[in-house]
Amino acid sequence: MAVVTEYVLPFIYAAMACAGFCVMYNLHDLKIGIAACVGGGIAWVVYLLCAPTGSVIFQNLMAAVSVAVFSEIMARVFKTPSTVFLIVGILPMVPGGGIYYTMEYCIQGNMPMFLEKLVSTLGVAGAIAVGVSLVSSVVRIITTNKFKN
Amino acid sequence: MGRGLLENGGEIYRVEQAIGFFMRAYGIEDAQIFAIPATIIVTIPGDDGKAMTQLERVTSIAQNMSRLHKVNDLCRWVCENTPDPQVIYERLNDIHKTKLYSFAEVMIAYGVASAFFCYFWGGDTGDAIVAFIAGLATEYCLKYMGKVNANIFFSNLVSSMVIAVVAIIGMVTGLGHNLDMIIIGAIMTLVPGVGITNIMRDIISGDVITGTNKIAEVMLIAIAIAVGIALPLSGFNTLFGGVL
Repeated sequence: MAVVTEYVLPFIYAAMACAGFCVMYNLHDLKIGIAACVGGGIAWVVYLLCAPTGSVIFQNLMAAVSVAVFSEIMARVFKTPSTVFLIVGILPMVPGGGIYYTMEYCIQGNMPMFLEKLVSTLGVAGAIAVGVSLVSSVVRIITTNKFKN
Repeated sequence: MGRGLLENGGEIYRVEQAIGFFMRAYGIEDAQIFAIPATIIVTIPGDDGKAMTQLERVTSIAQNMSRLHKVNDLCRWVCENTPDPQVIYERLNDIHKTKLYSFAEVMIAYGVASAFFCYFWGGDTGDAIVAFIAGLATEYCLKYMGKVNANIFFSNLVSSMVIAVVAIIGMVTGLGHNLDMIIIGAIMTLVPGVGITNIMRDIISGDVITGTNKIAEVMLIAIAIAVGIALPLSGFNTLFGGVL
């Protein structure tokens, strides 16, 4: 049961939230949509699996790397730009909570907590971005060198 | 063609690369291409030593993945088969005619996304229902703001104010139990997550102008959301003495 509540439910929630976003971004192909949602779910499970390390930044980094790898594979499978999977996949990690708490501490006038939340939100955003760009840079180096040969 | 990629949310390097492949496919080796989110400039050296330049102004960028996918396919097909320009135009027009999701469908999508993000951050069912309503209201508000040509800062500000008001009403009526979960779930639909990733990809692939341009936009949206949420919350707390 612990596995269900700890990993399966978050997976489903993340995937369903991503499904809403697929419609928002006008993604009409059902198969691509499902793949993109699964990507979002996988990202969150990876995030949870990395929880023992105790570093939010590291968790986000690993989750972003896994989404990026997943998107590059799916982009080749479906012959579509990898951005499609990437954008939907990183959604569960986007620090909406961070922005909210930053704002809340700001209006409460709680400066130390405000700065702490602000810096950690920026750190999370940076970690996602670095994770994604790491993979896409490596993929681009590999593919451009293939073209040359 | 490049415009099609850019307007529907392609990355800058993809646009430049596609136009470059395009020119080479039609036998023009040294075309100069420059793209930023607002414009695409292409210069082609002519036979008589004069250069030909065309500038395309791109005014609106909306994420439309199906179109992006189709224009990308079309690019590949054109580069392989080099058809008549007329044929390309017809195909592009066909792509632009493909139907979008209806307003009601998008509204429900906003609601579903908000509700599940609410669950996701640890809200209970009552919270999710309030978040669902807040999501519906957000999309309605965004649509209306688009109709009256409000700028990006103002439309995000008003939408997040609506979210906060719906959340407060939900709390007062007793349907919701965690104010923060409701609001976080609902603002996830406004937070520019797409922007953040595309910025870093643009900067790292060398398009620094594009990156800084978009950073400014993302900061603007984030501040709009924060202010929009903060206004009703602090107003309510001052009027009714901080019950929330």
